[in-house]
Amino acid sequence: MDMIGRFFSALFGSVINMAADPASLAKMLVMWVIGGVLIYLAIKKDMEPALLLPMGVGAILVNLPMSGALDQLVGNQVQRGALSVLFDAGIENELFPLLLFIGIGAMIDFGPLLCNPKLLLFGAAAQFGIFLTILLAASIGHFFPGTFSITDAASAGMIGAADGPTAIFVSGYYDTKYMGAIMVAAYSYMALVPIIQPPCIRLVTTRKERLIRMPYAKDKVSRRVRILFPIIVTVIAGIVSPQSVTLVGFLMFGNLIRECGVLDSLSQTAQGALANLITILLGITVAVRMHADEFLSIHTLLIMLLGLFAFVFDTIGGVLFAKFLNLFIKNKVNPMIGACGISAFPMSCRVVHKMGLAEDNQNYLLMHAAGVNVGGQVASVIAGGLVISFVDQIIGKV
Amino acid sequence: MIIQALEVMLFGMLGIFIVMGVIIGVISLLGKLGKPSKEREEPPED
Repeated sequence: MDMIGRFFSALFGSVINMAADPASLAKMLVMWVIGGVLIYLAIKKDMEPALLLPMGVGAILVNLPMSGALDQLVGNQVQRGALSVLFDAGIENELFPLLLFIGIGAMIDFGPLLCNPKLLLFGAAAQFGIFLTILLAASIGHFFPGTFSITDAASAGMIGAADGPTAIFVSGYYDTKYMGAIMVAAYSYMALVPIIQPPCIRLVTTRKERLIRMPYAKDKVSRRVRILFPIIVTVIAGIVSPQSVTLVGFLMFGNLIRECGVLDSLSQTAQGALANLITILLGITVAVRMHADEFLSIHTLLIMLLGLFAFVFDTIGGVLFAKFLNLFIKNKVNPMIGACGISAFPMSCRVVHKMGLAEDNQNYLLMHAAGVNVGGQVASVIAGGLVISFVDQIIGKV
Repeated sequence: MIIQALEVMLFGMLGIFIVMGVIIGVISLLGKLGKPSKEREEPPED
């Protein structure tokens, strides 16, 4: 009899334990469904599959009863789980997003931006949504104590960076319990840029403004400028926000590998193998923060709404800034390009280019939009650094 | 907390425009230095 008991206990012990706690069982089942939805969106809808698929698998993995993927207390001893180890090694110390930034830096061609550096201003303006969302989240935290602290608000606002690694970096830096929700929101909305941005752009522009043509005179950018750009940005951003210099530094290091012209093989490795490897690990490791107890709460829904708010106001901020500039400049800019400052490279510039062509089939905005888009990438990283600097000052971390 | 968030928002936006302005200034300067001047391109007049 003992043997049969041990047999069933070994095979179904975890299920029997779960069945004794129906509430946990229900939560676990909901997380499986959420994991399944993420996998479905990745495969069927092609929504950021590189991240949403590993996150979906991870969500299921960490929500199995007594999952060995996470640390478990067995007797008096903690048995380390592989995902917990990866989380400590790569996300808690912000290593994975930083390594991914080397790959992203190596992928980006700053040429269109360097032809017209003023486009960086649009990138700056389109970070408005980040800061407005921080204010909104902090207000929620103020009126509903126990929801968001200022560090949670800062992490939630970074969804508006439309740049996964920056959002992970800031969330990891503040070790917010909402990291799972922030990641799901950030990558879902990035994939939904073609749906979110066009109505926002139309809302704040007239047809006449959308028809503004922008001729593109391709200036050749010297190799010296291409090489000095990443170094200068790193130095300036490092002086302003030393706590987060690695964020900009690793992005620009990747770009320097690309532009120096003597490290082609390293550049290819960074763009391909390194970026892919880190993406796999990042997606599945973030799922550590998708355990049912943490993830299934009203806060997750709030984070999703805050993320949408951030994307909408990033877009509106960039467009309104372009309209504001048009009041003072002779050669008017098409305000739609302001929306590309949201980062989300290269999705956002494609969206604006298509919108331009839909209004006037001879209006090619792609290169201007691409310039603003890569400017937005730099701006979002710098915004992440500035948020950390200011919030650290407030909470007395420095 | 709202005041703190307002502080982050105002200084953050101001900070990002200042940083971008400095980068634009330096890059524009480098771009100008990198190009040959017009005088040098045109043949000297007699």
